[in-house]
Amino acid sequence: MRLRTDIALQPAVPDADLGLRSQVLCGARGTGLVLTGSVLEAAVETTTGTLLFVTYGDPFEESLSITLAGPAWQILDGAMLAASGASGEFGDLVLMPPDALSFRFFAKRRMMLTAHARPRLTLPLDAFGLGLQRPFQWRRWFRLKAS
Amino acid sequence: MAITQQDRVQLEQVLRSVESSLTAAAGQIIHDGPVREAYIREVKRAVGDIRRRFETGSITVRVAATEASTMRNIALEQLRGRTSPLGLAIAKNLKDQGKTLNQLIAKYTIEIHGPNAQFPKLSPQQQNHIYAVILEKAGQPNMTVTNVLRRMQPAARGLVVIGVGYSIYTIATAENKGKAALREGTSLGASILGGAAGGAAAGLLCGPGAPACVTVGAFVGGALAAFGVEMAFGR
Repeated sequence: MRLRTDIALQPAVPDADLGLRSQVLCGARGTGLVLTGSVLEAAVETTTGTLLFVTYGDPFEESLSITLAGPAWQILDGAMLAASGASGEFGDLVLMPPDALSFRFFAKRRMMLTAHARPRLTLPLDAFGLGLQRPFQWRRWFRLKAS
Repeated sequence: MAITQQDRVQLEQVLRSVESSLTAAAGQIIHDGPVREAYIREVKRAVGDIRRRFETGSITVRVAATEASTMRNIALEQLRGRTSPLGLAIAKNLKDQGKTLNQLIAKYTIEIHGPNAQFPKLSPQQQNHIYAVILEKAGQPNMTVTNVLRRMQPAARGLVVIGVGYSIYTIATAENKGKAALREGTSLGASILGGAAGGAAAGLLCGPGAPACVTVGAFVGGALAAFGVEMAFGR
């Protein structure tokens, strides 16, 4: 697990419904992966792909999307920290090799992310009250919880 | 062991309370959707108005940025005021303060000019650019948050449809259909109102930043309201 410095975002045409969007660049070349949001907070290489931490870019009501992209820049898994009327600030990223990291977003609460080498069976329910939303699926490539 | 009439009534009451609790929670989610959409419309309209006054030279970019950031924070405060007890509890639990103008100036000065940059040392053009960025950001409400609520709306409406469907079935199979219709209608309305009241009461008791407590309050409020209606109708 290591920070990647060769990843950047390029603004894409905003969508009326999705809002601000950006294409992920790797080494200044387009990957074809377009994500909602405008600010790349961090990119972290894991054993299965790249974790992208992207904030929307609204300082009044900031949200964070976490995307795990595979080697071909296909989306493997994702998570969203967002809540109406609440604003977070990404920071304090700590890498804990081989497979974990932590960061802060909402209310300076530390969140712990553990990446799996292969998807693990899980209940498609999210921790309540943390502003955490994840796709409804029974297998996850990473676990996210408040520490 | 044979199921008695009393067992059947008790099971029906438990099912009714679960259905009422889910309907109450769904009602709060459905309520927050249009509130959020109105907030988005209001922010875009107000910032559009400020931007027009700046573009026609009525106000400076500094005044425009100040007005826009103040307006956005007031709009957020009003949004929280109109949000359901459950939505408010989640927002308060996560953080309820918007950024002040000075915090925004510091943020974008560092983002654009580097970690050692200081706003007072920037040129007037650079300072105006910072103000212009703040004006632009104030007019771009977070659509991700809006979409999260939009995605929850069908599920919440689905729960209400299930509740209404259950009520229709109960009315259709009742001997006294008029009395059953009155009871079901009262129960549905009472569970939604009871859920909102229960959530608000729990917010007062536990503090507004306690989503789990407010959720339990909403569920209990919805269930109690349903039980109250059942008792009032002599079941």
